[in-house]
Amino acid sequence: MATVRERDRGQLILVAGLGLAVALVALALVLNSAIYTQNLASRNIESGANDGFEARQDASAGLGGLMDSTNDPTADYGSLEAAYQAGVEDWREHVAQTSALRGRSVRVETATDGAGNPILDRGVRVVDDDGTTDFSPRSTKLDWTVAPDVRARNFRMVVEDVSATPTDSEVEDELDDGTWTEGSFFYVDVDDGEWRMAVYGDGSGDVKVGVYDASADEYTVCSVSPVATPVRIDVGRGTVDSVPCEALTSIEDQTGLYTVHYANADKVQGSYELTADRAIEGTSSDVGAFTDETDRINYGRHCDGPTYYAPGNGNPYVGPALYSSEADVTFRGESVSYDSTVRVAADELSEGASSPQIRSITVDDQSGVSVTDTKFVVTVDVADPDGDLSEVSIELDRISTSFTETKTGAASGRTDTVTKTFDPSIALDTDFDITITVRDGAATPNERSVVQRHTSDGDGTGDGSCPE
Amino acid sequence: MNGFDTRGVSTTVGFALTLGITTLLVTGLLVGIGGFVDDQRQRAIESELSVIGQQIAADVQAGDRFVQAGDTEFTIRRDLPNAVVGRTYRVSVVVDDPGNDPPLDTYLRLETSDPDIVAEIDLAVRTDIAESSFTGGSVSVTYDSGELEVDTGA
Repeated sequence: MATVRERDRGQLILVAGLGLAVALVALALVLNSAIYTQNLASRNIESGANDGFEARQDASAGLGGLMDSTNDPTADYGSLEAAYQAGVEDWREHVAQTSALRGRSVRVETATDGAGNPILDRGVRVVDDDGTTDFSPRSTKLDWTVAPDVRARNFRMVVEDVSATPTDSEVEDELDDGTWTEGSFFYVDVDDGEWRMAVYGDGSGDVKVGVYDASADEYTVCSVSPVATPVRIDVGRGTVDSVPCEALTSIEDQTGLYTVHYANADKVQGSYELTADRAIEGTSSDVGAFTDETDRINYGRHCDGPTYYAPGNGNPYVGPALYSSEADVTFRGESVSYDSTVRVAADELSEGASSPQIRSITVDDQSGVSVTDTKFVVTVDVADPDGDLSEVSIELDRISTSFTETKTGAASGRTDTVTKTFDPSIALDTDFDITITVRDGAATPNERSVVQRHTSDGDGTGDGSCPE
Repeated sequence: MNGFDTRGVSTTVGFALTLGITTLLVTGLLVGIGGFVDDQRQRAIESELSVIGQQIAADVQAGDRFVQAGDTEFTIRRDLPNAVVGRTYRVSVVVDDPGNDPPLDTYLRLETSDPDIVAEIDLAVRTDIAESSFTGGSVSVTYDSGELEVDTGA
């Protein structure tokens, strides 16, 4: 009896012990899961998407720098495009190698349009690199238009000296009334009074930079100024002597096309440059879609100006430049794959350009010997960064007495050429204004115009006389 | 006292008492520890589900950033455990559920059955997101026809 009882007691303890053991093992498993959870929670929560963003930023910044270093006033558009493409190729190989070291694959190449042509938008670089002269154009004018109806980037100036020392309140009073020629100090006007930047002295030889933003109706002097000359002002980056100036960044709010205008250009000395999204003819001449329009606004017509020199002939001059491009970025990381198209346009003042541009205009004067034999063949090359060109309209206006003839041609894609022939019964040696307007297919079409003056003297594509 | 010997009874009663008390204590211990283990398991599941949910939410938000930056061709993958504390789980993207209090526009629901545990993670995204539901494991976030899509990353 006693033996059996002892065995009973033993069973109870055994069952209890086993039950406890199972429970402890279960607890250990649960705690293990809890530890794993903590481990999971303390891992970097970022999925690696940041690496994708980084690749995108690097491409935009790297190719932007490449584009600016390619821009050379003595090279025509074809050489610029070839040099840029070669640079992209080098950059692509370099990026592929360095990213492979970090276990990723990054591929960068210039994006192409539907027809396989690389997306490269032409621009024009306006440069005055003589620091000892004031900011006047080639043909003297103190209030003048630097770039009409453009998007601009890479707008910077180095101010060596200022001769006006107004007070801040005088500057503010004059900037906020929207008119031009008042005031006795230098300022840059963007979009007809929408945004203005004044550069003036503080009386002790140092320079102040102030910005008037019409949308906020506010005048702000950069807190980093006054600064001693020379002062480097970079409008695209929003810096004065490489120090960020908050007020300058308000130019980002500009939408659509704007006109860049200088007022009281004689009150400041130094150098400046900007790149605009319009085109010129080439390196050896100061004519083209951009300069024709600039001259017309400043002087009425090219022949009464001009505003700029061709490169190498003096300051300020205009030269071909690349304005923007697009790059396809393909990123393959451990956990993220990512395809993106980034816009390459370093230090652009505001959001991307979308208005069509006129690349070149050729007016072939085929007027014959007969007294009523005026004949022009107008050929226009147009381009649109959005790739939705819609139409080109060409208008022939006689200067002396009223006569107007308009012809419209359809255009499509990113680049196109339109040719129209005008053959009115008008006598030879008559002056005409030829207005070319290009429109895109947006709901409210973006458009840009250029006006050229020509004489019907049968000189073919021109003998250099003025007007042609 | 009246000639009966009660010493044997005392031994029997004493034995019965010992056995009873021991059984009670052991049962109490087992029930107590069982409850404790169960409680810990529920908590472990709950916290693991919410950690997994937050990781998926991070991917969804990364996808949202891609879309807001204008890029629509991407895949974000993440390897996550197939089971939490030995239980498989389900991930659902819930959009605008009016029955929820407080109502959240969009959230991730992760749930296990037996025990029934639900963790909900709010999603703050600007892009539209498609409703979906799948068994836990690896997850991918993509963008298709105007919506973010969360699905198994197989």
